[in-house]
Amino acid sequence: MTRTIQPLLEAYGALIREYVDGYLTSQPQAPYLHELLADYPSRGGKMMRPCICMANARAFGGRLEDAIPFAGAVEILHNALLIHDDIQDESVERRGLPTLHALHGVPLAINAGDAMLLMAFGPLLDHVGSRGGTFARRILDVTRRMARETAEGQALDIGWRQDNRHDISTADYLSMVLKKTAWMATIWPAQVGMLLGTHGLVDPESVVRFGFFLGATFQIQDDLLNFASEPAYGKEPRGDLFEAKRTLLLIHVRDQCHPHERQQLDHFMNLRREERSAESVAWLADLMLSKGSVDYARMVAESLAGAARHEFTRAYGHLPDSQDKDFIEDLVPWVFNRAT
Amino acid sequence: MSGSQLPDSQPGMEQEATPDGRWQRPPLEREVPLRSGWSDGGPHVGGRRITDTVEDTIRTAYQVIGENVRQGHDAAERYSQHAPRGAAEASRDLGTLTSRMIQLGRDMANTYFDAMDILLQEVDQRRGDRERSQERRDAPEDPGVDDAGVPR
Repeated sequence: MTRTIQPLLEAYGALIREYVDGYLTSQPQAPYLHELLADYPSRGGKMMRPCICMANARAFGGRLEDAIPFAGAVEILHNALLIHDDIQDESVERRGLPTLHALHGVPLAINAGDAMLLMAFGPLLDHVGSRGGTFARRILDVTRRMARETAEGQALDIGWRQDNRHDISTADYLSMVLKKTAWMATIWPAQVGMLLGTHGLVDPESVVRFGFFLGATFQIQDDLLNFASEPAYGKEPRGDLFEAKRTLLLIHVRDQCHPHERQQLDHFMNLRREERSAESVAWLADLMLSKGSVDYARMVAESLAGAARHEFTRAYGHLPDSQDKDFIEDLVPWVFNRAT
Repeated sequence: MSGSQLPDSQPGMEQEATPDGRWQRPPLEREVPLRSGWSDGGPHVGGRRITDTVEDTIRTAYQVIGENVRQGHDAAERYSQHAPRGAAEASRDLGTLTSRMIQLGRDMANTYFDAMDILLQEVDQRRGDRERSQERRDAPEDPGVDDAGVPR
């Protein structure tokens, strides 16, 4: 079912890692900065985002070597956002190691994230100019949209917790996931790739729906993996519960629980992160299991995966068969069944 | 064909007619389709029927993405109105440019004629000065004595 996923993730991932490593190490050896820039990329990662960019470029007729810098930009930007995301969420672990701000302090980590955000545009700017004004304009347009949507989604995620919002609905959650996750993780990489493959001559809107359903499935599975927190997960066990993140599990359990349980849950959500004990997190996890919240979230993810398969046919069905087209289609069951 | 029996090619029919003379099928074993158990919603997951969850999820998700796409189109239109690259913006720019060019031409013409006027006035004044100077040079000198040599 996911026959093309691992081979392409490994093959494309190796090329992108080499490019990103070379790009970051070619910068001046600035003290308090250089070491931090290379840290997260050197820890590995799934490379899903840049591989989506590569596969789209190839599926739409582009050349592999042309796609590498663009996929590299996607990966650098993703790592930059991870640094800031970890600070905002007060996360302690990333890819099995302490987060960057836990190692070097918040000010230096913010600075490294800022530097990487700006550096990510280097490969884009270096390679759009030679392809004509229309292509450059479209790449910048989709990038501007992605930046805006991602920032809006992150603001919702943080703002809901900051204001102790308890009235978040499934529609609110999906809207936040569309902005915070899908635009950066799936929609934008696909758009950059397809624009590259067609020299800017295709409507980037055509992959938005597919990217949304794929990205939302990916995010719900991420929430479920965080809940399960198997040893290979690589993040703080049940960090989402400690942070009282407004996930589908939390929204569902609050909707299903009895009034006295809801009172206790609201009290938990009103606490600051450092005030939430391991015992209270264990209580919430048990409540989610007993109310069927985990099964519910999995059912929602499965529904969205089905919609993603439908939208794949609409967005990519006209393309000639290729390994890259198969890879994009196989992403749907892969994100739904992945264990890391 | 006799009036009270069906031919053999009518399987499932009673071989005998009912007292009112109508032919009837035997009673059916069931009157509803065989269901998998899912068409009435299936098992419950998380306090809801599975089919309800799937239906609500798909409907809500399409509403969310539909709204996002609409907002994207609105934003794109706003950007294109602000960016100096749309055809409408270009024609408005052309009108402004033309009126500015006319105004500039008018100002330049006025300035030109003003300058010429000043120049001509200056030329006239110089000519007048020169003629007056020439007249003075052409006038006879006053000797200061009369013809007899007696001072005046």
